[in-house]
Amino acid sequence: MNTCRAVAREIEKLMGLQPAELPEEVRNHLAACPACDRRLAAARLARGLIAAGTETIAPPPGFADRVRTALATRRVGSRADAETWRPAWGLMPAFAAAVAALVIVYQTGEMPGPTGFLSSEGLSVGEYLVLGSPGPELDDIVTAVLEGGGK
Amino acid sequence: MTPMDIPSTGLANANASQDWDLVQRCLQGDSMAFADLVRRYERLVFRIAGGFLRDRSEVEDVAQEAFLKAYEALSGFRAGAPFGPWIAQIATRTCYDRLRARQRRGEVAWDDLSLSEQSEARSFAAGRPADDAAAARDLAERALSGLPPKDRQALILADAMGHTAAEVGQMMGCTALAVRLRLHRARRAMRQAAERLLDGIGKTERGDSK
Repeated sequence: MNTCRAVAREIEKLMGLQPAELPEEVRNHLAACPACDRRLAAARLARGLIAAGTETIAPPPGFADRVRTALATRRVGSRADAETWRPAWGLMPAFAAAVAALVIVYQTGEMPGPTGFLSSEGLSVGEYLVLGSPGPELDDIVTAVLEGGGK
Repeated sequence: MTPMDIPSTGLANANASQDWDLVQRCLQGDSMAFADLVRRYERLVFRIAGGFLRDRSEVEDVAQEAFLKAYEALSGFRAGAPFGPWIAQIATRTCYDRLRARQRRGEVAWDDLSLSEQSEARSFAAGRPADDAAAARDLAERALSGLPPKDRQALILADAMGHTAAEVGQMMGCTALAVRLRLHRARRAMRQAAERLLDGIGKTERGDSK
């Protein structure tokens, strides 16, 4: 093996060898051929970078028990979350009704009557919220709340 | 570097029934059975995570996350299937999420390297083993962090851990052909990085470095 083509063909094998392990004819060729010498050096360097990019890290003692504990914590957490949210879901209809009532009070300035879901301009609550309507100014509402009463 | 210890087909079949028993016990709420599964596959998951992440605490964190994800997905585990490739795939994807969240570096440049990293580059080019493992890892990280995360994963799984393209495809959730394309691109990028470092070595030896 003393040609550039042979070095190129065998480079996978050659780059795995220590310099002293290279066949003598290869060493002689590399000494005389800077292109092949560089090609082999680049292949070795790339291989070294890839091999050094991994690290063998052993699992610490008790890792499995740690995962089991994390699992239990996660389960307890998700159960607690579910219990926290269950009453909230139960209150959703009441919450929705309260929001609707507030909107109507804001819209009409009084408790809703039979036509309370429509403004005097014929807007629905949704349209009202989107388009706005004549009603008490924000400052009036804030003042009323701060003073502890409405009109 | 020896090939990673994903169970071969024969071994996988032998383990599959034991794994399936453990999975069924897990599904019935037996957390000890899950701990047994973790013990069986923790080395494999750590090996995968160590291939992509260098900080021990991050490797442990990812390994735990992978097992917890596996637990949550256990109901979808196919009866009789080997657990090793399945958890390997989850671990690989968990690592991918971490790599993707990181900002990719630009090309590795000789003048940016520390003296110990430059020394390791010379050792690698001469075919010598690393003298300073930490510096060698830093240097490797500089070069590898310039690759797209999936290319990097394909390269490490195939060239550093010894998996076939089909195995890598199974772990990454893509075809063997896609793996080969990624490998081709990643190897070319690493060769180019090596060429740049060789230029730096040459410059330093000629005494005309900055």
